[in-house]
Amino acid sequence: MKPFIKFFSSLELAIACMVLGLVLVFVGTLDQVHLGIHGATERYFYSFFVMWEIPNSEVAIPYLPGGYTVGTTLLINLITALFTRFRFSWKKAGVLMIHFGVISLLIGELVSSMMQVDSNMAIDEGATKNYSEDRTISELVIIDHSHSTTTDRVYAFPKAMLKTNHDVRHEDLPFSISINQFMTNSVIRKRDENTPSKSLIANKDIGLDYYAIETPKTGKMDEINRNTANLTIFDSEGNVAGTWLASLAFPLQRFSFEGKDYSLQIRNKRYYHPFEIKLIDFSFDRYLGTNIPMNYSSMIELTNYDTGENREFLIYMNHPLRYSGLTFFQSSFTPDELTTILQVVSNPGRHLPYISCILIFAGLSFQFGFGLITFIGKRLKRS
Amino acid sequence: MTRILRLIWTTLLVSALAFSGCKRATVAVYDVPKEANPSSKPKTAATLPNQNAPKGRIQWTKPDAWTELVPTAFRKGNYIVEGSSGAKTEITVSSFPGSVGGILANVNRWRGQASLSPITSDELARSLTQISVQGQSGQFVDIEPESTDPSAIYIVAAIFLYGGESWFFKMSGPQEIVSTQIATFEQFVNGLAFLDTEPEPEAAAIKPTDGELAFDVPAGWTESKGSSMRLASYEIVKDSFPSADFSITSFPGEAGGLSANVNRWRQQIGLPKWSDEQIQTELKTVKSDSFTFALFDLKPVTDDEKANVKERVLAAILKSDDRSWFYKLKGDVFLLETQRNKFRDVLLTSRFESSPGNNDL
Repeated sequence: MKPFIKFFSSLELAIACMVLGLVLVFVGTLDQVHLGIHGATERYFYSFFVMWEIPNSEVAIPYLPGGYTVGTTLLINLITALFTRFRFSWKKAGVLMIHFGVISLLIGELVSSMMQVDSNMAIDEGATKNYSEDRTISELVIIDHSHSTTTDRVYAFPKAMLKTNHDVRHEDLPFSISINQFMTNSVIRKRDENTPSKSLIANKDIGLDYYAIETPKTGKMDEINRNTANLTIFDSEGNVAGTWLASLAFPLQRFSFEGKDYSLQIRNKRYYHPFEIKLIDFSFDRYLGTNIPMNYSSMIELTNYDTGENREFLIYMNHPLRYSGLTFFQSSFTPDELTTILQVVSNPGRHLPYISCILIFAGLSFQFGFGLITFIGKRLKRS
Repeated sequence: MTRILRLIWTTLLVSALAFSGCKRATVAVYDVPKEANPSSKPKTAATLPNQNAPKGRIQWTKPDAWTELVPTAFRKGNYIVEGSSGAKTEITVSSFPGSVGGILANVNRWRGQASLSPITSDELARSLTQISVQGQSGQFVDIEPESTDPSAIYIVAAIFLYGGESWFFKMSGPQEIVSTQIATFEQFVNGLAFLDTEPEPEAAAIKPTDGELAFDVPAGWTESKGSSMRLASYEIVKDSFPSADFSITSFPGEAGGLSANVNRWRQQIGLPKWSDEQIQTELKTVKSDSFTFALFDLKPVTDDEKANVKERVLAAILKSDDRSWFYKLKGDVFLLETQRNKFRDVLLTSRFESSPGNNDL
């Protein structure tokens, strides 16, 4: 056990982790050009290993420890060192605080990376919304409109389940869905004489007029991956009910199955909230006589179904609304300035970085202050 | 000490495994309230303010070299051409009711997109070419970049006023491609077909789309800096009273309904909510030559309210089949008493004038 503890509490390991962290930040920042912020974060920081895919094969080999590995090792190193090497004395109280600060910073980042949920709420002026959407995750939804007179039942199949030549089903649905082809990114074209024959199998709704061509995945912030699926619905006997082309940004496509009304759509993942937000006014103020932006703001009215609460808030730059564990930031708007886009963030670990900074600041102040006072004391004594 | 360390490692390991397990894909099943028309797009041109019912339409044929993209809410036609260098130029067809701010405003907006300075109306006349397609006259605009850089933005456009709408056929992109496509674009424009369609039945008594909302501004009211959504914004300053604020806003549909809006205004000045029956009882109507407004006077009435609430709201709602206009005057209880008749005059003189602009091209 001792060599094990010695290894994990060693200063060499701490330095190795920090160097690897630097390398990760450097490589990740460079690769951001190709992958975008989300892509680079997922690949280099929210992973145990950074993988390299061997060209023309599906084999991937790790070539660098990922952010999780480096962070967790550093965390273990700090905790182990704290218990094995550190001997408490008032002289070293500052060092202890700095250690706790860095530990809480690492834990905070781990919690954020695992539990933070980012989504967007786009609301037209005068309209109301009770859900936000994650623009980086899509899902295939089957909506049962015959479920009740007041509500629809939604079956949301996450993107991770949508793979070419795979079937997806849910026990409450009377049919199964076979994904003939899933494209992470695609362009949509109108059907013409050049339409590839494999795209002609779609025989329902939008698929009769349009087809999709697969394009390389993008990670850029200003581009979206237009997820598209060519899918066939089978009844329990294995008979074909039809083949649809579903794509992100296509409207709902309705169909009947065994006398019940359904619709299908690929859309951004939705998070429904127990309250609704109405956009009263979006304002884009410019400096007088110029087009230079001065302020973006959204006057909203929030109504909570459960508590009956009804309040108005003004959300503007650096002044988000914090409500029900969520933070609503003014994120963007449409060019016609009639629709606001709010970023909705749920992050249980959002306080930890503040606590870390306070601890580190206090620790450094104490340590340097203590050193300074000792030094001045010695000088005075000497003189 | 060893036990504590073992415990820490085990906890970290289990937490990491538990967290990684969270990402397993499962089907989510949940119920949501029914949407009015689930297959409609969230926002279409029809929901925009000041839209006219189209009384004619223009048909066109896509040139072979252009690739068709899916139309959007604003683009009736959406095409792209890619040059050999990979640079792209886009060709769009859009239409909006009325003159959309006039040709000069649109040309200057496009010049801004091409990083060129605005021009005057005299200069505009020189840069426009009058064209005629199937007997319909229109204008051809050529916004050539001043720079010789191949990537400088070059815009050419054809504008037709047809069926009460402004139709814009616009090609914009790097000049290296646009210059190769001008002949194709001209052919495209010359092949336009102008078709008649039946006018929409006139359903609503109010025709908001007939123009911009106007009214006689009462004496003593000064225009204030409103938000982008306000159609009108005025400030009333009198004696030592805090200034009162007048606004007109407009939303598609009923914008939450009568009850929600009246109670929101009441809550803004600290008055309790009214029941639906009370709202109906308190509702008064004001009739002008053209319109009928629902009028509400929201002021403290009981002793308790008078002691705590110092503000009052005069609000009027004008509804058409698909839009609502909200007139709201908010300010000190006593100041508003002096402005009551002026507020009424604003309602009585309200009308729609001339064609509005629209920048959504």
